Amino acid sequence: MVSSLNVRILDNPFYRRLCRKRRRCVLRLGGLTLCVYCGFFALIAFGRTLLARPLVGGVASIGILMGLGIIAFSIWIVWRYGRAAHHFDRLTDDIVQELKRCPH
Amino acid sequence: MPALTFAFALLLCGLPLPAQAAEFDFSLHDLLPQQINHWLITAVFAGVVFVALVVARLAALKPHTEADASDTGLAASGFQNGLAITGHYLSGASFPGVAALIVSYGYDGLLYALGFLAGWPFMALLFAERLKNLGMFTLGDVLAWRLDNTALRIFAAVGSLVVTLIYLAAQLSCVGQLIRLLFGFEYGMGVVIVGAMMLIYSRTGGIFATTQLAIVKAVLLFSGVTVLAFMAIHKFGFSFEAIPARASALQGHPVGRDAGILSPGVLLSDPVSMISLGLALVCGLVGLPHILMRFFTAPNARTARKSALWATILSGYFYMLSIVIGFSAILFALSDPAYRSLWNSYRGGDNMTSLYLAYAVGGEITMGVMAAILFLTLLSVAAGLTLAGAAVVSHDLYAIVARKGRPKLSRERRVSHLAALALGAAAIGLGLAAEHVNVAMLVSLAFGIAASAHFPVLVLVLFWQRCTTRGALVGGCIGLISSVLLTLFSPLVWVTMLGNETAIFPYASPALFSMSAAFLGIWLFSRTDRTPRGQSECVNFTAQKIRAEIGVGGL
Repeated sequence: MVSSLNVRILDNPFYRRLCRKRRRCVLRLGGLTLCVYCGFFALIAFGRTLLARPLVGGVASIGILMGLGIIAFSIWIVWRYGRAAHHFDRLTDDIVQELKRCPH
Repeated sequence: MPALTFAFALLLCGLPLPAQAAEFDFSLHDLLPQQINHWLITAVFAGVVFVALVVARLAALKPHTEADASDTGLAASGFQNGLAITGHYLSGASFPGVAALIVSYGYDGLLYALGFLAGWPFMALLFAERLKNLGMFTLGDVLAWRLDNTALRIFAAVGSLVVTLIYLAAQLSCVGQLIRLLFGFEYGMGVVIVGAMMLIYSRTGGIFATTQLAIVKAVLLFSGVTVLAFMAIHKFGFSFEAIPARASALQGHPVGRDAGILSPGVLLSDPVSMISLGLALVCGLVGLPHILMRFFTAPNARTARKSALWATILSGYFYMLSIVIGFSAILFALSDPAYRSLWNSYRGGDNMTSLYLAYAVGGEITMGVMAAILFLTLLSVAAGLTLAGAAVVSHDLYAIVARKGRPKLSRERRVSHLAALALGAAAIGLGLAAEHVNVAMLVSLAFGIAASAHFPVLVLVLFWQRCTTRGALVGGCIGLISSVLLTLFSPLVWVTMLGNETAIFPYASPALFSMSAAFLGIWLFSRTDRTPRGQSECVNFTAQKIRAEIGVGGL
């Protein structure tokens, strides 16, 4: 049983747009994160010699660089989502405003 | 708070740096405990701890509004709450645990740092806002939103208590080593003393004092590790890339030059262990009760999301510095050829190598300050865990389940006090058995249980319409029980803590098996649930989705 308020929200075009945009954003960023992490895990599990290989000049290694890259990537992903989420906030405000305008 | 940070950074930056840059010009014998001025370290340690506790307490005594008391726990902005979350999250496993693992096992220690960070993007993308919109205080609130109130709350409470207990034991184990290192007390006495302090602080100050302590501690921790890493890099003429290269060239390290400090596979020698541990660390974050509590107490969903963003950024920064500190510690503290024979002679064990690095680069004052930061880290996390565990018992088990949502406030408080006491006592007992265990490895077991018990249930309750009470309960229990059993039989507990010769379960973390079993169990028992209640719960998914998305609407 879906309440009348929920039915109105489901019919709201802003809500449908919010769900669509958020799903698309999360799928894109989450999928990218998953791919990067899985790739890194696979390298750790099956490509150890590659990770231990020194970089040009003999300092550090590919593994260290990739580790730092994973940290930077994680920060970038959440920063990117934070920017996109401002748009979701505006849509949420629109939905709430419309519900307040027509309470029944 | 900025003034405190500034003063603290000034204090550390004003310390005399070793004159000779680009070379480490001391031997291991310089680091032997009997040559350290313990009085100076103790005085600095006591001073910093005292000032931090007073600042946190004074901040917590500020008058609160009703909204504060019922709602936010003082962390009004996303940055503040993010700082508090980071304060609770960066436990002894992160400092000094990660650096200690890098010292002991090289690149595999770095993997723990990446794992501890890797869950944050998923927390920000998928959970932070939804958790705030659906929950009030605990994980049980979210799970019971459309499913059975009693069954799911009991399950969430038991899972949270198990995770909290192991996490607490890890913190107490680390603090026991610290107290032994600083004051020469027996390990057990250190655990008991700090266990008692943790109980007193969390019970007398409540969420306000615990939040403020987490914020103060986070500021001190970031300042401390920044200065420590700066001093270490300064020794190498600010050539960061030279540190791991030199560390890998060390002849005396037990991992060995050929085995490769820079190569994975020393600690986690098989792919199954690596994948299982990776899953535990990434997914376990979402099931940690003391971290979830901070999302529930955020003022609104936007603040919860911003908190997750700040927590990711701050944690990322911290783990980058941890890598520098870990590899520097290999060079500074372990570079002597006699190291191999002295591996176990450090007072406090390998968890304390960061403090030896602090001594090596900055002398007694730096070591005293870093020891104080470590102590505050452990105290803050332990107080947060105690509070979260007590909230689970008093809110979920007593107020909602036993009293059907109509508890007497005074009795609820008494239950909360008793729960904290029991939790503290159990954690002290477990902490005594964990003397020789690396704190990051012990915490990873708590992550494994959280990933197996809480994560599958939370994901499917939030995102799968067909998930029912029967499925969530049976699958969740499969995950919880299997992960606890596999943890018990794992090398870290079965061999290192219990003293058996070989482990029954040979892998580093149970998550790959127990989490898969939990997902399978939830799917199977939900799909086969044809009861009217199950059907009604599926219908209620739409209302839950609306509430989770925009924070409006109800059943």
